[in-house]
Amino acid sequence: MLISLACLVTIYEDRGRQVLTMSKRSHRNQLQYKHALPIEAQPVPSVWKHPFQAFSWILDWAMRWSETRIIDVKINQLGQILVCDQWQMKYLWEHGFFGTGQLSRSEPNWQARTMSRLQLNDADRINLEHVTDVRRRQRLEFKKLRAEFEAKKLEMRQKGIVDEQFIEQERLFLKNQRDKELAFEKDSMQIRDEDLRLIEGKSVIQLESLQLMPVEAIFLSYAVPVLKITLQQLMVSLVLEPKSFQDIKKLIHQYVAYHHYRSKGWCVRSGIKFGCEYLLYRRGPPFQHAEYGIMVLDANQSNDYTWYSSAARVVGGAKKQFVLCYVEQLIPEDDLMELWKQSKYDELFRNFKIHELLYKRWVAGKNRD
Amino acid sequence: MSDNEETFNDSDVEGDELLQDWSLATKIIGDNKNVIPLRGEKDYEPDGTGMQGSMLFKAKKVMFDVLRQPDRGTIIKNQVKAYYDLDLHVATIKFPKGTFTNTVGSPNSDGTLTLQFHEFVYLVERGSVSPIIDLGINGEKEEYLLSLQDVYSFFKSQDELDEFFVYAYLKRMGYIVFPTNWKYGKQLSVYSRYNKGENRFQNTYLLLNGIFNLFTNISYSWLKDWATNINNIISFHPVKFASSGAIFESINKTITFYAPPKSQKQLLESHGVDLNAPVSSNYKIAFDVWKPNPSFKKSNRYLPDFQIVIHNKNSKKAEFPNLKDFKGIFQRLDHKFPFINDVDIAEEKVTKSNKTGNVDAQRHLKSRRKNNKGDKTLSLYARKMKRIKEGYRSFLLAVMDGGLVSIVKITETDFGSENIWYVPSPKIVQWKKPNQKKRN
Repeated sequence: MLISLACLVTIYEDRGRQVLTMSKRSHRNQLQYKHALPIEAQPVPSVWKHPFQAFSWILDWAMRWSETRIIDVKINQLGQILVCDQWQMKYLWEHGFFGTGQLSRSEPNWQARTMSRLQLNDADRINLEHVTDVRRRQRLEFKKLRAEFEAKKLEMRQKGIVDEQFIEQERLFLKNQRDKELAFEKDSMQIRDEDLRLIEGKSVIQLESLQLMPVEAIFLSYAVPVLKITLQQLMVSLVLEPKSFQDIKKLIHQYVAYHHYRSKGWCVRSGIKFGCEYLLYRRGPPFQHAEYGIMVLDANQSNDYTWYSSAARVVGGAKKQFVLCYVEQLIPEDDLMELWKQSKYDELFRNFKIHELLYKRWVAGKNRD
Repeated sequence: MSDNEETFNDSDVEGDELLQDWSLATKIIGDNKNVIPLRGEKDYEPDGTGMQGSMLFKAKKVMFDVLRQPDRGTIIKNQVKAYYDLDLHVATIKFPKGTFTNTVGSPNSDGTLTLQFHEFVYLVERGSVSPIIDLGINGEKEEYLLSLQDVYSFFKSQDELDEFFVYAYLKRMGYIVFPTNWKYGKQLSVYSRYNKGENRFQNTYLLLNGIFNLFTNISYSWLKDWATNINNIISFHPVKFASSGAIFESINKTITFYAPPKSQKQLLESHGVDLNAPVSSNYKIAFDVWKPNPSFKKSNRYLPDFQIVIHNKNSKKAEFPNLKDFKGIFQRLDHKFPFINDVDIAEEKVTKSNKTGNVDAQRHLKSRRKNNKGDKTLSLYARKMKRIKEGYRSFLLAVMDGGLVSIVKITETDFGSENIWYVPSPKIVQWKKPNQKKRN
């Protein structure tokens, strides 16, 4: 009993510390991810206070002097669209969470992770992969503790002792354990031989690049032009010599849906891990879980019911709403194809219409009020 | 936390499992001593003590005591005879009695009650009526009591069987269910207020209104986006923006999107479009469904809470609905749309006129109105999120597979009309400085 009380005290201490780091972290997030898109807005300076700056702002605006296309992309022979420069990778991630680090879960932080593993920096940065890892271990720990309690309880029961107080305490303790946020303790370092080849001076060689989904690349070349590649160059490399509209249909549908949600302010990421096309975040992965799972469908599409129900079950199981996003073509396919051939992409995208339906399992026993 | 990041708490957190809770039932059998143990962690293996066994015994005993309780089940004496008519494929109760008549059957002027076939089978299964058939043998009419199997054999098609499954399932769950095309009595319509009396003016009104709207909409939207429009005309695309909102504004007109009707007026307009178009749909709205309500009156019905469409997964006739099919269903819907508040007022009228035991209903309405008021205290951002999440018109789609029912709620929603981009709050910029100093 004393042990469990001691545990309780440590939990409360830990909690206090946690609240502090949480708020600090969320504040840091607010600063780090201030810009939702990779073009940073610049407020017009006051004409009265800074007339010259205001004039130059307007001139700049009218003459389009500022260069927004600052990101180099490389399309390799596999067709992967890559951003390799360290600063540019970070820039795209921090300005709207574009792309995925090829050696990371999403944020391209392999280098930082490795450096922290090899204790080459002060390692105060916390990355999500590490969080998951620690969380898993905590869970194991929790299960072990619970098993110990169970054994103790059984022993008492077999002796014929019913100690309500003990059971109550156990429940409280386990509950607290479960609620407990993460406390990070440093790993003990292990340097392998192959690690030595990565280390260069006080740093680690950058092996990672940021991979963009085709729709992300189109968006960053067409809607928010920051990639140095032109839209036409990009499109040609994405679809080699399309013969009919069918060859470009999927990409266009995906892009139209992507642009739709991005342009309303959602952070759109791939939904591959949840069996749908896209996930929608309010601001981005560091801030909250995705709220919606989007399935992009052709307006005439009809699948077997099992298809819908399985997709909805997976998305619903991850506490997200499942959305059927129908893309309707407003003009005939031949005309769309013609627009593509003439590289009139803007007009092409404007000839689609989005329809959205929420799809949710309905349980009779829960809707009677 | 910035102002637009306030979380809006959703009440219906998923969690599909419905546990049978027998603990409430102990009151029925007047046993307050035996509290049924709460279900928590499972016991995986016998622990060698009598504890588990005695807990199980207790729980079982309460359950069986409840089931054995005399008020349950049917009493043969109270059963009424329902006469099945082979030609019309309906059944008639000549002397209707029993509470079930409140929510089942169509009364006739001679005091008899006509049961649709699905109602008939449901009542037979439930034990409320005895199925009788009148057979004329040698010019003499004779009554025969049918078995349940006999009754099942009268189903004429898979569709009818599917309808029965859905009907019986919802009834057993406590809902009030009637066919959508039921002709008996009066039923409110979302569109009725415009149809009654205003019929003559309706078309002129709509036309004038439409023309007026067209002009104002065009000029308004043009004025609102004048900058973008001028830019488009002279094909100037700025690359410098004064705010992040302006960047989004510059790109969020590209993809057109469908905005579902959101007000009574828009509903009427969308419904009007439908009336001119020929309705040829495989997806008929089968049933109107009301939540359980003791003051429900079948002769004077308020707006149903749900409407349900049945789709058989294995049917060769119809595939799962595509967009066009969904649109067709949405246009024909006529039930209580929670996004229109004044519908509640109409319901209130009907409930009041019903008079009987409407205290519950009144309280229910009051609480609902309170909820609506609650909306106004939410921030603009939270309200946008709520609108997207709750959506607009909706219906239930019951998917059948070999007698099993799976129900899905399909709701129109509209991401396109809600701009939810993050607007950095000025506070954050102010905080930035001290924080940086500390860190460096």
